[in-house]
Amino acid sequence: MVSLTLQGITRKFGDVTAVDDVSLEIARGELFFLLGPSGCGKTTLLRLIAGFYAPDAGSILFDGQEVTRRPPHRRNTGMVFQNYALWPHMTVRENVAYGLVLRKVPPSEQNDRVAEALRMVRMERYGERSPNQLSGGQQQRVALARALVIRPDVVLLDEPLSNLDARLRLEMRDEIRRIHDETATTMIYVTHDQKEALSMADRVAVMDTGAVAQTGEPRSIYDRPANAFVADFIGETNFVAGRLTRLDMPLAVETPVGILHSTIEPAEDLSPGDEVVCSIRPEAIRVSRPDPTGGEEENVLSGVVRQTVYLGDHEQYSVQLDDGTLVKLVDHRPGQRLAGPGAPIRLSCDPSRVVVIGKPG
Amino acid sequence: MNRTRFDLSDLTPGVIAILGVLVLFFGLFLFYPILHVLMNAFYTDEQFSMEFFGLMLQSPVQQRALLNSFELGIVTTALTTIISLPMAVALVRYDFIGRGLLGGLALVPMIMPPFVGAIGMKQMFARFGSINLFLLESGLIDAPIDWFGGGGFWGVVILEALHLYPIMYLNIAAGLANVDPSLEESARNVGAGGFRLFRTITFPLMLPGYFAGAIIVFIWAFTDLGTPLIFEFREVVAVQIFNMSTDVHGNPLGYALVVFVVLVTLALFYLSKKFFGGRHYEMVARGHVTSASKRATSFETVLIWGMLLSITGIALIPHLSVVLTSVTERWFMTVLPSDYTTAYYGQIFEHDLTLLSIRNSLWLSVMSTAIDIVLGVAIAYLLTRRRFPFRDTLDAVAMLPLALPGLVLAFGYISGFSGTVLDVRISPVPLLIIAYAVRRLPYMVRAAYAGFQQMSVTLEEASMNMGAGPLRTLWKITMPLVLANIAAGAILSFSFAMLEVSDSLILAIKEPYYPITKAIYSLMGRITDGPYMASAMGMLGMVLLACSLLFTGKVLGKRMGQLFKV
Repeated sequence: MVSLTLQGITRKFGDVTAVDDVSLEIARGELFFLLGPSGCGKTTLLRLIAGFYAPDAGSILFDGQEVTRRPPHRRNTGMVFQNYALWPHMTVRENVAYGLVLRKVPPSEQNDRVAEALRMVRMERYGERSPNQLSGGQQQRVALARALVIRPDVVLLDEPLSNLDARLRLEMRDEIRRIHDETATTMIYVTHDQKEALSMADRVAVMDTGAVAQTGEPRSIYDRPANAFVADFIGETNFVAGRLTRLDMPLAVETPVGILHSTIEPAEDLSPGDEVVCSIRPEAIRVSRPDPTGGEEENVLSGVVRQTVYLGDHEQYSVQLDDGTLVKLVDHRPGQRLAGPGAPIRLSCDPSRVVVIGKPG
Repeated sequence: MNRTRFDLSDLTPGVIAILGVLVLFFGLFLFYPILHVLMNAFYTDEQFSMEFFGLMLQSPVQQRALLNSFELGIVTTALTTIISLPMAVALVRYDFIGRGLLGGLALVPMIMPPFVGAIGMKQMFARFGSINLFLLESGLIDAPIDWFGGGGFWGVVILEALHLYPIMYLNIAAGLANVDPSLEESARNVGAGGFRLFRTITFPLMLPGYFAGAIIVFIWAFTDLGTPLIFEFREVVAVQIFNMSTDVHGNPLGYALVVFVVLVTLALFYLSKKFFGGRHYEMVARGHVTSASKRATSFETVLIWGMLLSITGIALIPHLSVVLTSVTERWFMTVLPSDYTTAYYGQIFEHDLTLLSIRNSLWLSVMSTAIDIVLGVAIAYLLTRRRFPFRDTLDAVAMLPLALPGLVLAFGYISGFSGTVLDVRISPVPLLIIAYAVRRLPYMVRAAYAGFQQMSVTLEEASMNMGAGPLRTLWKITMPLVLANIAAGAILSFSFAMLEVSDSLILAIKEPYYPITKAIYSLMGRITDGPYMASAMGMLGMVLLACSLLFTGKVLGKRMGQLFKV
């Protein structure tokens, strides 16, 4: 198990810059996620760490040791491929034992470790099968066992669940998290599925067109997106555009629908007068009723309900604000409808849930 | 992510070394001989001249030879078209009982080189051969018919057509299968049907496939050496070149003839690329297209069975005649042999010439196959796994020998390497091995290419990730997974090398070096037991080729057809 340091990694394919000056620190034993839409460079970054590509610039360090030019077979990483890549001419056991044979592990120890790895992924009864006789989920588990058995310095998972059906995917999420906690190995996990990342990760790096847009724990990524891309890519959000009028706490943003206050420190360098957007999650907006104590409410927005969608455990509302902006909100106790289409409505949200972001572009 | 055509980081020293070897090999044994012939044809006394072409065109013998060869090519192509077109339509477009069986049977005639068939056919269709005797005895004719009229022209045409129609059929079938059924459906939708539909929509769309097959058939017939030799139909380009190959220094006409053959070949391929190249690929690119086939009515089924069985039946007559001849003790003025014997099969293993030739062929073919395996696997690996400059060029060069007549290559070797250590007068062995290897390399490349392509690169990456170096990965993962394909390609290369005709006839100039095919040819010159022993030898070759084709078909399945396409 190692810590990883990536310093200014850049990798081009012809004219396309797949990975653009990426620097990351990944701690020992961390379950670290690379999250982003397809084509954002996350798989390329993983393959650079595995050694299948060499970077055009930058360096990769395992525990402070330079490995940038080391060939893949001398990096001691354990990779789980998107298509599993089990060798069809070997049994499950032979697949798993392959890395141990290469490491000249004595046969008796090999047997123990293969059995142990298969047990860990709950495939101990399938050792003599051929990979072709296994289901997708089972192949996935074998691929995981094969990567784990060599006790790699870091486990690399390339969209490991993308070929499984929805139910199996949920099950395998728990499995991988459990195996991570059991082995305490450093793992880097590539996915485009934000739910996978939010639910499993210790930390996440969100990637956009080759660069890291934000790194942080799932909670901070969701609650305090550093820029419009992250806010938009992770979960759903409402953007209300305006101009920053005060940089001291609480921040104030003048918008066509009134002044919005925020108590969240912006991630970017902003100065008063800048064009900004306020990102407000749908679940942060609530329907405002006149305060019986007569206290003044903050961040009040008024508009007209345009559409409601009832989904059992929650109900979604589309509201058109006075300036025409559409915002979404969710009511998590949809016992009865708050207001029907066409009805005027007053909304409000807590300043601690309004994120001020520099206007993109 | 692999959008670029090449990546300099793929140009490792190993890859550069392999590319270097390939450039050297193809340069020396493919391009140099051809260039040498070109130079000698155009330069006399250090001066550019077209003199030989004038000589070639003025000589009445050469004129007739050229005309005859063109006629052979055209008539053979026409005949194979007539045979293969209905066959392909029936087998691709109709679904009927026994479709797979009949489709397989249709390919069986390929198992024998036509010049071996010619030996048997001469026995059967000779002036007083079985067929004439049968017809005379039954009173149907009064005088023997000259079956191979025109000095053997028709004999050559029929044997070549019967041998080559499977190649034409495979190409037409592939062309037909590539025609998107929705294109026909939309034509039907606007009111075209029956023959009109075929003429206006289906045929133009399958034309690229047809043309690819037609070119192979034409060039084959145009340059075939063995069959005209057996029929003693000597006024054809191939035989003229063969005669002149023994005297490359004295008679410069051979160069001009070879250049002529090269030009004809080039012109045909240029035309096909120009008119069909682009379209061909568009059609293939839509890989999901599967041609819809129609369930045949019972009447249609009977019709199709009748047609396919009679074609295959007729095509197997030469084979049958060879079998008969090989077990004939006495066959003189009777319909069937009057006495049978298996003695010739024993004799071929005792007789010096035959035994030596079997040994020579085995040894030469093993060596050439070994070269093919090494080069073919390396080329296929580079083409599927690495990005480097001039990839397409390597692909094209490796496939070039499919289009290049063996005759041209052999003549180029004789003349180009004369006076060097590789001179055939010292020993033809190195050049025979190399000629076989170059000629059969495309089969090996295609077979290995298919294997590598089927195999996901991540299987290799997973192995490296587990700690195996590139060589161990190649040995433990890649090789076992493409072994079946390599074996199929190797066996095919081997058996075609065993039965290679034109290279063997031209290059093996001394009896101790005769391979099987040249021994058969030389046996034909012996009046007494020559044809019988030649037939027995031919049978050996036939069995060998049949077994290897069966095995290859098993391994490659539907992709078998790709081996015979340009």
